[in-house]
This record gives sequence, structure tokens and C-alpha cells, in this order.
Amino acid sequence: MASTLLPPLLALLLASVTVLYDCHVSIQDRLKRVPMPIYASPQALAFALACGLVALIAFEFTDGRGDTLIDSALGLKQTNPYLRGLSVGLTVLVLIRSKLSSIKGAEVGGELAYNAGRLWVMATLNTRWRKFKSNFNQRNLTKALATPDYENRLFIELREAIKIQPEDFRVFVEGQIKNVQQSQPKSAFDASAIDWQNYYRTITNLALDYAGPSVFEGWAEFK
Amino acid sequence: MSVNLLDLIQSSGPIALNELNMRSSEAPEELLRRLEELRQRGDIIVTGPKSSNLMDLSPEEVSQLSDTVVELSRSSLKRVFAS
Repeated sequence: MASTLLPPLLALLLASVTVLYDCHVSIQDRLKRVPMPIYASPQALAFALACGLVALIAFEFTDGRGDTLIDSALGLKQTNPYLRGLSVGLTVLVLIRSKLSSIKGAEVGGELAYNAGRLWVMATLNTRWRKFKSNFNQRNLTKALATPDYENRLFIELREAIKIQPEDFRVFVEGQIKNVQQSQPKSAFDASAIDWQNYYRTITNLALDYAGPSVFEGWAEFK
Repeated sequence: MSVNLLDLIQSSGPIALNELNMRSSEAPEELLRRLEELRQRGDIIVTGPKSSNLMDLSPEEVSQLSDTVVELSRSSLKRVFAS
């Protein structure tokens, strides 16, 4: 019983994990920011599961004899069902992202559906990211305003966090730090003043965008 | 220091207009002109109070509008993935 259920489930699981990883990497690369944990997004999980189901169905078209295209290309003619499940799960993106044809440069087929799914995940993560930053500021803005030398300490942490990133990324972040500092309110510091609160909110968001929530790990009072 | 506006909006996600003003390199008037240009090209969408008439905003309003939000449009996000 287990030997007939486990291989297709293995294909489903591995395909889902592969899709989550692909989404994570592409979002990190394209958005140039520290992404939220992708497994925390129900939309990303739903998309990964949908792709996993494709792998599960594809597995049912394999028998290890290599008679069909799916068996040869995804199942790698494996007679061992576990290895075949492993192989289908890891390679199903080839099937999903296949371009059936191209009309005036626009892809048609699985690639179109896959990109639409990834776009949906990215849009929902964008919304969640804004909400996360907003909630973080709500919880911590008062503490930030009360923290001595908050700005310098935060930028030191941010620079430390991004020093392993490529130079163009560091220049991009550094440019924003300089721009923000030039916009610092000219009035004497006042924690109750709206312009100082906006300034602190902006530098906090800047640090969160490019170093992620971990930039605050050493700040015991922040949560 | 020069910062590409679209890269900034792309990397920050939806961003309040006053925050974008602080993080970008453009002066408020130039920022509004660029945003209007990007909006007309369909690259960004702007939502919230006074989002329909960006060019009428004063620099003071730009520095205060935290409920007006700028974000990449769906077609722009699609281009980001296609690139």
C-alpha cells in the first residue's frame, strides 16, 4: 500500500518544494530586497501545491519502461518507483514551464500559467510586506524614538548586513541612506513631532527592506 | 545621490509618497513629474488621497502624504519577471 502511495506523494512534495525555492530565489533576485519567508504565504503554498499536483498526475503517466515522453523525460526510465517519484518531482518544472508555442514573442502554454502564478505570489507578498512593515512600526516606533543614537546604530547594522551583497546593490542602498539623511528634519529632535516620526519610520523601513527583520535581532527591546 | 526610481519602488513594495520622497534622489516637483510619467506609461499605480492629481501637490504635501501609496503595476511586475 505504502509503496504505491509514497512515490507519487514524493513527486508532489519535491515539486512543491522546488516551486517554493524557485519563487523565493526569483523574488529575491528581481525585487532586490530581503524576501519574507515564502512558506508563510498561503498563496505561495497554494501555488506550490498546484504544481505538486501536476507532478503527481505526471507520475501516474510513468511506469519506468520509457514508452512515453513523460516517462523518458521526467521519470528518466527509472524502474524503482521511489527514484521515479524523486525524479518526476525534481524535473516537473520542465514540463510545467514548457512553451507549447510562441505568438509574437509571448509565451503560450505552461510557462504562461507558471509566470502568472509567480506574479500572483509576488503581488501578494508585496502587500504582506507593506503590512508587516506597518505593524512593525506600530509596535516599535515609540521605542525607536526613545533609543539614543538610533539612526547611526541602525545604519551601522544595515551596512553590516549588506556587506556581502554585490557592490551595485550596496551603492543602491547607500544612495537611499544619503537621500534620507538629507531629508532629516531641520528642527530640534522631538519624539512627538510628526516629521521626526515620519523620518524614523522611513529609516526603519529602509533597514527592513534591505536587511530584513533580522537587522533588529540584537535589539532586545524591539519585537 | 542618484537612485533609480523604479528600482526603489520595485524593491520597497508599496511605498507611501512621503517616504518615497525621502528615499529618492529627486526634488519633490521632479519626483511628481516622474511619477506622473510612469503612471501614464502604466508602470506604476498610485492610490489614496490626492492620488488622481499628483501634479497639483505642493512639496509640503508630498512630504506629509503617508496615505498616498505608490506601487508597481501588474504589467510592470510582469516585466520584472520577464527580464
